[in-house]
Amino acid sequence: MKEFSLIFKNILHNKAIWILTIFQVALTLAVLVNSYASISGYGNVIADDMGIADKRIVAVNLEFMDDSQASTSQGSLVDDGGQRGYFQDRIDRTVRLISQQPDIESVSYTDGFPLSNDAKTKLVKVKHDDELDVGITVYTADQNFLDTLEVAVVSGRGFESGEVLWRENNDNGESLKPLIIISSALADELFPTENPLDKRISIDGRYYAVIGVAERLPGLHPLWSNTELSAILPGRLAGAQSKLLVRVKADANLSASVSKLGSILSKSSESQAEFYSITPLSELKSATLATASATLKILGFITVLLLIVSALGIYGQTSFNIARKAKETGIKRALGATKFDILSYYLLQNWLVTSFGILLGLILATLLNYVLIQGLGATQINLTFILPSILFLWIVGLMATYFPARRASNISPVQATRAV
Amino acid sequence: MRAPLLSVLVVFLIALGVGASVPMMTVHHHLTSEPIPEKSGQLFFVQLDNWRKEEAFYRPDNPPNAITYRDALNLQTSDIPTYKAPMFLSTTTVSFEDNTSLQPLKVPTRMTGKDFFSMFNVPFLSGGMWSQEDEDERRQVAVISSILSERLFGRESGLGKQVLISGRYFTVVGVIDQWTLTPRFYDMNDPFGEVEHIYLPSTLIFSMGVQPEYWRTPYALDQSLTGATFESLFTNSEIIFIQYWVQLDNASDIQAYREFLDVYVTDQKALGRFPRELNNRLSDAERWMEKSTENSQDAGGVIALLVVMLLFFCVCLINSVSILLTKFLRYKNHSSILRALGAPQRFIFAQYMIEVVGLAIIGGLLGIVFAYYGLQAAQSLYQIDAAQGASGVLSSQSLDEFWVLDTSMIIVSFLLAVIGGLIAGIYPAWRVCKIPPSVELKSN
Repeated sequence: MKEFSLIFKNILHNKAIWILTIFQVALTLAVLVNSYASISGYGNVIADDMGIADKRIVAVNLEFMDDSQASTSQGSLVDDGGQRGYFQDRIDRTVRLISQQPDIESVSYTDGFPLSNDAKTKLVKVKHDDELDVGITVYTADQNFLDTLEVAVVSGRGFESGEVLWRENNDNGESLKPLIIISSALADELFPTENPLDKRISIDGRYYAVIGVAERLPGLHPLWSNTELSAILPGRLAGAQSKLLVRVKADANLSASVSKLGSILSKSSESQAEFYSITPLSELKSATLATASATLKILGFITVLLLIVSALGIYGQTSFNIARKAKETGIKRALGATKFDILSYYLLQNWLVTSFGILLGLILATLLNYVLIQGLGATQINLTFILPSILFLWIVGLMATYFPARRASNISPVQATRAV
Repeated sequence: MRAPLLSVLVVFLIALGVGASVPMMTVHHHLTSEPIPEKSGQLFFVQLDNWRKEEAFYRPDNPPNAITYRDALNLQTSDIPTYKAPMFLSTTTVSFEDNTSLQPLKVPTRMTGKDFFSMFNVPFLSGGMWSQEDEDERRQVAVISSILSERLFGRESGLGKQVLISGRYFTVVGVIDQWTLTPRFYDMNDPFGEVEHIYLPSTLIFSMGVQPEYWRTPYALDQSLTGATFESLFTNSEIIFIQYWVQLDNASDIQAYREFLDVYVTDQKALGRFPRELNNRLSDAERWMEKSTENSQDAGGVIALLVVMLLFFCVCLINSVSILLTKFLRYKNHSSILRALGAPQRFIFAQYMIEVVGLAIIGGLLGIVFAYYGLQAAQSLYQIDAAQGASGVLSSQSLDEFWVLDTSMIIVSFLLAVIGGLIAGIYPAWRVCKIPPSVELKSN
């Protein structure tokens, strides 16, 4: 214990230089913990395909144009009954055309794409008058949707083709069958203890009966915390713009299939104003995560730079301190301290200083985490990120001390005290 | 120069710190500084609070960032503003006439009034804005960017030509010259967005059926609107989607317009609309940019990175302090002799501080070089990604301006280096000149 009080006195005696080390350790810990949390949080999301074969599934955006209607009088372009028939027919024909291709395994109609920015969200509750609601992704899709995504139905059943109706424009779902398939994550959220089958869910003031639970169904934006809470309503919307999901056979070449799909769509086009786009889901996902991943790269780069500067700095400060104490060390050696005593003294001293820095750093890390969560939607820090970071800084601190301290302990007492 | 290696280290550390912090500062600077300085304090963004009684649009009491169609129509009747521009963003498809094998282009399109062009000083290459008559008669006229004009008509001028936009023929009445706004402050829904390539009269909204990219509704849509057409849905509900800008040239106009808005909303309250307390906002461009970057995810990412970079700068400074300490203490003999010869303490202090400032200046200059390359690297990271997101969409590179190190940012980087150097130098210099010369000289 005497050792400790001595070390403390020594630290207090040379406050300034130790304060520098303490702040340095604190700042480094704050940044390290937060970068580690953000990078591993985002990294997992970016690497996770959420059970979707995103390299074999392509997202198709179609925009039909009814020339016969466009040239007639203005004002009745949208939501005209005659046009709806035309669009229904076009969607049916396009789906049939694509599914006839030999390299295509499955085609489905949908109004949103998983893992992208392009899907609809709704607030849902169990009862109309419930206070609490949950934000989820709601797809309106046909009976092939789950099959195209290769998502298994774990209990209950999928939709049958007779249940998939054409949706009226701008309705709240009145024109649809009141049926719903929910993801198992949503089932756990809404009905943690009960069997969700045949329960009801309220969306926009309308009840839907749960007929099936899907295994794992990703929704809007991979970084959204509710992305796994999702549901499907049976239906299709006959509008100018529609979306299809297409799964390519495992042995087919994706880019060849995409360009073939493109030429089929442009051949079937009935007006020069028609537009389509074909994007593999994996590309859609990386485009959605583009800004986040650029930010992460910059964050990672700066963290590595910070660690290098900081480790060199700690080494410099420690060797400076130990070098200044050369005389003192010599006297200690002359008075009978062993090399091991000297080494352990410095290591302990440095460990204490590093630990002070770590304590301060934990406070800073929490503050910084608050800023990053606000700005980046970063991951909340917890012990899994804090403990390795602390361990890392301890090791850096000890390494930075070990070499100068061993040099100091090797000094011969005669030489060190001669100058006095 | 004494202890050259240590000096080089200090210069390098300061340069590294500046080089890391300045790029994100630059982006943030461009994001919040007014792009049309000559109209500073004259352009105002109008917000009216038609949100539901129980809950504000954005905590704690912010009104929505757009207004309804009928409010926009009613506000158009005021003649207090010099210019008034209702607007919203949409996407249209533009087809190639001659070569049908070419896929049509998806083009960001702004639906607005003719005042837009005068209000935001839009430079025309040829032609000009459309007339009030065009607007009232709902003629199919368009103003397009020079980039789009080149894509459609090559070297020929697009003026007077016909363009097929979303299946309808439009006459080009104006072609816009190179034009950038950094940021595109009239629409801060995407602070990194660029100016559009097509401008159409907003009076065509229902005849064309162009749906806004951004809209919000305070209430679940009314049952009576089930199956409603786009037109009746957007005219009879409280859906907000129109951004409304006015130009007010002097203080009395501003006052008069504020009163006009208050009277208008109070009148509407009597009709049973606007359930919340009177909460009109008339923000000038600068305030509006500040407010909307506060609430924006993308801008938040920039600020978060900036904080991390500044912490990195702090670590660099801390290390500079300890290196300077080592460096100065190594030469304490020298200063002790000077002191013994009668040099006052502040002379020694000043001598060391001058040395530090010298190092900081070199560090600052090197830091500006680092910052320049840092900006280029960051830009390429962000723009590769932006290109990925925008395949099939017409895009110019007008976002480049976000990554330009302008004069004010060069001065800021320089000051950052010098102030940082001064802060880092104070303690080591003070420490050395406090050493009593007698002790130091005797020990040798």
